Amino acid sequence: MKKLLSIAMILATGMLFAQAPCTDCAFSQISTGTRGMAVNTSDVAQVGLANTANVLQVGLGNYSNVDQNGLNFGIGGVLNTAYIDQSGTRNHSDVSQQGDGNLGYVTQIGFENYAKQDVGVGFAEANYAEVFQSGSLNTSIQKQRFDNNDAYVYQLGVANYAEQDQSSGADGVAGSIAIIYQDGAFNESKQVQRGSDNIAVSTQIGLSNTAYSSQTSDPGSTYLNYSDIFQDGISNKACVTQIATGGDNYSFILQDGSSNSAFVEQDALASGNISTIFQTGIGNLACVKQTGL
Amino acid sequence: MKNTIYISLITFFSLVATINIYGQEEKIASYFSNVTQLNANSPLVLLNNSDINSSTLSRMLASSGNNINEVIINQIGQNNVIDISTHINTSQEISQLGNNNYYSFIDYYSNSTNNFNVLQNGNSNSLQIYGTNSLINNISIVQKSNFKTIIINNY
Repeated sequence: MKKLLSIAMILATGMLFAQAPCTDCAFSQISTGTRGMAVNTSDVAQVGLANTANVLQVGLGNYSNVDQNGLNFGIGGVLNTAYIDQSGTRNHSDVSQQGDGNLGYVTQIGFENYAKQDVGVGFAEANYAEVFQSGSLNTSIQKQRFDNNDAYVYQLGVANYAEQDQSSGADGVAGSIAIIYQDGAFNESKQVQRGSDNIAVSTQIGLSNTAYSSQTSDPGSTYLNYSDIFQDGISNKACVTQIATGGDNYSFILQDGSSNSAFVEQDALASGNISTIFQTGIGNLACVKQTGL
Repeated sequence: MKNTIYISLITFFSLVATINIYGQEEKIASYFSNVTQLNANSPLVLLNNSDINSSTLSRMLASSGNNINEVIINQIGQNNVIDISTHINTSQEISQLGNNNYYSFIDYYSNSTNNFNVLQNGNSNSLQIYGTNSLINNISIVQKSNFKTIIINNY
């Protein structure tokens, strides 16, 4: 009778686990958008070659707008550099670079800061966007389009949000690298990459962090998708979606803590899927779905 | 008396956590005042320091182009769940070390699965496999514990 009872309990437990859903990585914690405060205002617009904008703002409610414009291999908009340093509360930085070989560096220290970098509208080759934010409730959004784009966000604090969107859809092609490093709690990261040899690295240390990585390879090179997520803490979520045509999908997730969940969905056409998940702790969930031809 | 000890411990750990937080902020202040910009090498450093080491990456890239589908999952702890579903030939290396772990594999529309290794070490572990496949090549399932369950249904 005891054996029967034990078996029944095990089966019931198994069914319970089987019904546990793979949690998605929907972001719901943090609102995005401007901070609605502009006490000190800086507006820089540059047209031409090799321009440098250096903005330093200290105080409350700083607002910086840098617009570096130009054409591809034409007049202006090539090899521009923007440095934005803001220290205070509710700072806002908006950098727009539309050309080749541009560099954008944003450093924000404080509370409820917002940094946006939009690079390569229409033309973009070898651009680089970088953001460092320290504090709480900071938001960083970066978007780069064609060619060999790099993007890098480093956030330190609580309830920060970073999103990177890279295209590499055609032209010179070859891949993009996007890296988000977050140290704190309730942080969220999102990386969407499309063409060529994409590499996304999300490292989160703290509690209740969410990492999402979506990669779709195609134009250019060897069509490789590569995602690496490391989470150290409790109740972290990692979701990876990879679609490859002619190249391979690689997903590596390491979660150290408890109540973490990892979800990997890979689809490979005439190529391979490789998913590796390491989890240590209590009550972790790992879901892998692989499809292809 | 016990309550006093608990309160003291909580207070102590709160102080330690607070010190850690302020310690991080101090680092950042010096960082900002030095105006030491991060540079293009920063992400590369982070990438090199990520949990993907060179051997892992090399192994991964070595299999590139071979249409290899592989799932490697290691779980160390209790009450862990693994849920895998495929409709392609996938090799699996699964390891669950702990109690009350659950593993599920659903294989649909696939002819066969190769190199299937599952290790469950602990009590009350459960394993379920459902699939349309006729055979699994090189299958190895090891459960070292009491109250273990294996269910395999091919249809």
